[in-house]
Amino acid sequence: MAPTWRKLPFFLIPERLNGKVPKARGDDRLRVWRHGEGAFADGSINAQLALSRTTAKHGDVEPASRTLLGDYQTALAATKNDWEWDEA
Amino acid sequence: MMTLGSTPRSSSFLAGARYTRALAKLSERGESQTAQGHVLRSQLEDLWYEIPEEEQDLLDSLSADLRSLVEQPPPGPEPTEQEKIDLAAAVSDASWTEVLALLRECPRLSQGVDGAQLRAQCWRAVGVIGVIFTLQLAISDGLGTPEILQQLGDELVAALKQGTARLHAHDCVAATQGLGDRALDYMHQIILAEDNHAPIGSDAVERAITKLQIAAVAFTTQLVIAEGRDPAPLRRIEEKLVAAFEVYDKVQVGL
Repeated sequence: MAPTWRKLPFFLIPERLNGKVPKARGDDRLRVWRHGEGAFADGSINAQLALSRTTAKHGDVEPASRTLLGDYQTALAATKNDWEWDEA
Repeated sequence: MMTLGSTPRSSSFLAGARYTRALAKLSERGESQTAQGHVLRSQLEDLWYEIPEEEQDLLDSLSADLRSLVEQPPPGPEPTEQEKIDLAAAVSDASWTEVLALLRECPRLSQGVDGAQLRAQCWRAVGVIGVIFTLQLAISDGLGTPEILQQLGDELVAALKQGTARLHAHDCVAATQGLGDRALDYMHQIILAEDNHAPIGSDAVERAITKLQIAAVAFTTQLVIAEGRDPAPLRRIEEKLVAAFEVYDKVQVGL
């Protein structure tokens, strides 16, 4: 995850968006999605998931606590409807 | 007068720069959304998190600057006095990434040959040697005038004299295959003339050198894209080029 889609690495931003972000050279089959409105900071996303920032421009969505892989995947899948397509 | 060194970079970063240029080349040909393009993206992703954030930013910037060579961005408004001051300060402080960012945000700060050379010098200073030629090649392909090409030739000679063109052995094949017939023809003319003791500076050779300057930029682009150790055959051509230019320089000065 990145704080905004414009801060993703250039090869992950679909190339069709290069009019907005000249560096974009990613796969055009990709779409960029946004989740939530909170700050890009370490913290809870929901009861099962947490954001762990690795740099100012990258973070991982991790289990909030030690859990089984299947439960982690289920928790990720449960966020499906919370994501918005955001390429503006 | 700016004195520029070149920042040493990790092999992962240099590989990233190579993949970025390859992806940009595919984009130019409208072939970036192909299996070849996806392989390059995958290679970039594999090394991305091994390199420091500062180098990630450089590769992001490189991608944007390479695009600006083929799709010229709108020139934008005239620079403000503050932007001019900021640029001068960044140049004075050798803050090359800052210079690049300023030129990207306000292309009118330094345009044409001056802008291209400043940008190329910045990229060289931050450790992406090959880009200098990629930038210049794009100019010679699309926006060239005899004056610009003359400057490109001068820059090429300077770079060759510094011995900055290197090749990985395994990239030699790709680089050789990538050489245009035109470039090889002109190089052969020079080498043949020298081998036959024809006077460098004669009309025939002089004409060839002028064309050679153009072709050599393309040639050297291929060399530096590979960025590694030098294979003997290509090094020999490079040495001949340098020798030819050195003699040519003396003849010109003598005139």
